[in-house]
Amino acid sequence: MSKKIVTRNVSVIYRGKHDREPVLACNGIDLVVEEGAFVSIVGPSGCGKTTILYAIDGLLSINGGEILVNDKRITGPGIDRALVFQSASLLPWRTVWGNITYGLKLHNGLDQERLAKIQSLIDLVGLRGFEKRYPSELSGGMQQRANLARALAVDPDILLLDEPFASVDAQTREKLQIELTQIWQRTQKTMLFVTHDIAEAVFLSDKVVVFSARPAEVRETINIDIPRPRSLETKLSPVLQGYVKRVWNLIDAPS
Amino acid sequence: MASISTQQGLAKEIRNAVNLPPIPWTERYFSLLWGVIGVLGCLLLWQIGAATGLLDPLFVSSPVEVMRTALSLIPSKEFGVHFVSTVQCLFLGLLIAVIAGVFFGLPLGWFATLHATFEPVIAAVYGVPYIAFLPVIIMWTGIGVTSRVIIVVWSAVFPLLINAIQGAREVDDNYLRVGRSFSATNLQLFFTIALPSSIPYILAGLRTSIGRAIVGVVVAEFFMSSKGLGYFINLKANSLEMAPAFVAVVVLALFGIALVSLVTYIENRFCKW
Repeated sequence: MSKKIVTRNVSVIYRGKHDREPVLACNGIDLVVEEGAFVSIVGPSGCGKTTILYAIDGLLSINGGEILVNDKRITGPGIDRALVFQSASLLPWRTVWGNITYGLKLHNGLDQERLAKIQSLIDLVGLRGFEKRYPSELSGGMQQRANLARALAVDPDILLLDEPFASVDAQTREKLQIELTQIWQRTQKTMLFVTHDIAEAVFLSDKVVVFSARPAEVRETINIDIPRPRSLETKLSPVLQGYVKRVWNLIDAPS
Repeated sequence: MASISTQQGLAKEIRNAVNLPPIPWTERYFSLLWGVIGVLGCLLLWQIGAATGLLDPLFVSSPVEVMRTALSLIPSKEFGVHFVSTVQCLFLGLLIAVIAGVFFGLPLGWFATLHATFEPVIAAVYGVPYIAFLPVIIMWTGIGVTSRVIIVVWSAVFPLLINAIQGAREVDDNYLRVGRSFSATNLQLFFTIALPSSIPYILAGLRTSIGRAIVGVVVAEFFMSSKGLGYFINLKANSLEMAPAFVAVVVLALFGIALVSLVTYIENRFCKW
């Protein structure tokens, strides 16, 4: 399997707005994400998980090391990668349809073939019938479906997901997790998923990368050996619970 | 997802089921009701004052007299000419103010350098009452439509300009990040994110501008016109014909309210996000 994303010794210094002190958010991050894999990053909140994700997307410039996507050093955002944001990122003046097609419109890519694909994408994420709604008219779960569809619409190789289910209710979250694994299996995208929910990370992933508190460093990488397809029962299985405990101990351990 | 109409239906059903009394109309139209009472009360006091001689009808007329005058004056051709003249000047001025406010305001807010450069200039010009420039404008353009439109633009442009600047400066970072993530160019970020997210600011500015534009057009017509409602009010008041003067004032007020309501309607209709 080829390596889709490689970060080598990546450090990011995060500068807040105005004259706030610069903070070392990520310190020497080494990551490898194979093509078609589902990899999660977990770590204490505020540790710099989102920072490394933004850096891989090209939104933040790095202060050390290098990031390779498809064996090429990245210099900025590109449509080989798409980001699913945490929340409140749908453009409120665009309908669901307008939001999902936003990325394509920026690149003049709205031909007939793409339009047909968008319709099937809307079916895939379960938004049929909601195309003309505005984001404010949708529930949190529906908003995140649209958010996911917007990222998938540009047909990227890699999907970067920044705690996409953090702000939806627990039941919807479980449902969306299962749907996400189905979408992943159907589209064969490479997924890099950031979360602070350990059970979510273990349930979804082939590999879980555990980050330390800020400045983020990779504590350990754990391969999740649970057969697929995984269901709600998998979530309650002792094997999964064992992994959750292991990750929890790693995060909790003193550095 | 339950739509709003079914939610209301549900509320009705629940109310019927537990047999709650319906909300009395005095409660439902609370502010409208008391608002009407307030206006009618003032008119009544005015009428009583004029009828008892407490107020001199020569100077204040009376509501009944104003009403009677309005019925004959408003349909007349003379009044129509004045009204149309004012409205033309007002619309032309507002149109130019909107275009100029948005055209200059958005870039001034979007580009930090432009903003830093022109902020003091705008603040200074905004701080000076435009009436102070009246003689200067008359010197520049004489007494005519041009000078009146300049006054209207001057009086109306600042709320639009300042709100457009504000709108372009306070674009939510979350939205800009979405655009950047899809590798939008700066121009695309401006047109697909900064511009639409500024529209509510611009409409709010427009509502303030309408009131200021009406003041501007009346002032302009006082000093540099032989047409228009401002001229008409001045003329009638000077010859102590108070009733027609008040009719024109009321027409201006109602016209302003109608325009502001129109903008509010556009806001609710097209910016429902």
